[in-house]
Amino acid sequence: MIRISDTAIDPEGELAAFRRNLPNTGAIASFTGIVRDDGQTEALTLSHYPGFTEKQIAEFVIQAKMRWDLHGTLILHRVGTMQVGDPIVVVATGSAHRRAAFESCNYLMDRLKCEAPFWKQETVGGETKWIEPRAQDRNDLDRWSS
Amino acid sequence: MAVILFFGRFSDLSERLDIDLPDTVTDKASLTAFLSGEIEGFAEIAAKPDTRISVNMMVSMNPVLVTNDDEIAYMSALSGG
Repeated sequence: MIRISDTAIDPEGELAAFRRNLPNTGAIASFTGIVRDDGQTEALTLSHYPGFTEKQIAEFVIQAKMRWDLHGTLILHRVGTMQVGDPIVVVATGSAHRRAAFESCNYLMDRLKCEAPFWKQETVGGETKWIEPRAQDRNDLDRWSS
Repeated sequence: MAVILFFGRFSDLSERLDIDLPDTVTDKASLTAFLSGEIEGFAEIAAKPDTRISVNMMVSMNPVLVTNDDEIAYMSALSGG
């Protein structure tokens, strides 16, 4: 499932539902990204390109399923304005064994970070600035290119 | 009439244009040159290596023709998660 929404994500409820839909899966890995409290950030605002963003993420899922034998995937992503502590993204993958679940979840998150059509603005001191991927994010993504 | 969408840093300059493309615009490169002359600050963002341009929700590194039937999107560096 892929869902982009401007309403709050309930990670626990979504992950429980994901697990219920995969009764024969041996391993589920998940990642939840949260607006962190760095003492400065007042809000985070994400935008996307409706239609295109979903299409790109669907392509990431297809490529993940070509690499690993997955029983299911869940990608939930917030857009709009979020406050410290709000979930931004939930990624979960289910497979027969832990390695495929861990790695595919990691892979999907790296693709989302640098290649999904989202744009992020941070509000600090009443002013907004664009946030772009760090060198580390790009290095993380490059791990999957071999 | 072509639809041109602007995302990320480009959205600071414009949100959307519905325009009849001039005869000089035939592909992504000539559209970018045209917009650079029309919108202050556009050329600087368009020249960044992370900028992507989609035509009808398809991104290609190759030259792509554009027409008045197309939806073209200018996207600055992507940042999800």
